[in-house]
Amino acid sequence: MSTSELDPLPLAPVDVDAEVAQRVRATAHAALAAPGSRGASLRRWLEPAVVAVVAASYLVWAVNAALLIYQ
Amino acid sequence: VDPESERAWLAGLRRGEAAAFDGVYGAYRPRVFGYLARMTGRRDLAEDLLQETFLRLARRARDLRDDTRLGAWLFTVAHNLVVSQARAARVTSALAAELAIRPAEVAATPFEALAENRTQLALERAVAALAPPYREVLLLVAVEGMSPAEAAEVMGIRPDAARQRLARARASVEQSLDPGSRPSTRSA
Repeated sequence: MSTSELDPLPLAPVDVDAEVAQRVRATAHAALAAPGSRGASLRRWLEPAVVAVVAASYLVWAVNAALLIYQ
Repeated sequence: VDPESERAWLAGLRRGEAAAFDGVYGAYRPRVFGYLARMTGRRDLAEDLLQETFLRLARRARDLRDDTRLGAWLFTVAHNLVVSQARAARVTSALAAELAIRPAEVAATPFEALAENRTQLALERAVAALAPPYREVLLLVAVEGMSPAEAAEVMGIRPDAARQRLARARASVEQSLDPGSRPSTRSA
């Protein structure tokens, strides 16, 4: 038997049974409808932004305080 | 899967539409399950990982980018789950050895019953006998129809490494089907 690199391999198709397929589908539908996914997406951007603003404010305050001391 | 359907599903998923999810699920479920089943060698485990793969798709649907290739995305998630599961299994196996517990016996090829003829049965056994990195690239390219570059992306390796693994996997399968010489990529 000689094959090229991209020749398909004739393996038998496999699938889950109907009951499992339906269970997975129902679980995924529930996750898709859950409001958490949009919230999680927003939180992923909001949290670093808040941390950056707080850190930048502190840095500005620290530089300002140092300048006042050495003036 | 035609690109037009793929684009429509992607747009629908980003809007959280169940119909779009069903389209993706119907098209990719047997393919992802086949990959998971042959990578894990266990139907029950493959079902759990299939559920986790599509659950992740549902949870991240709204964050998918416009240029996301759903097939590559799903197989990458499935690949990561297989890797995590293999790591966990190694820990469990080590712990069982420490506690002198014999891990549950796993059937070598639970999909042999589906083989329609002797050639397919021999092929199923030859693929199952490959070490996981070789089996994986062979399944992605020769069963799922990905290019070696796409398979490399899914597996997180360089395209030339994927091509090399593919060539060795092919050679090993051919050698199993037509016993001659040079066994090279069998799992321990």
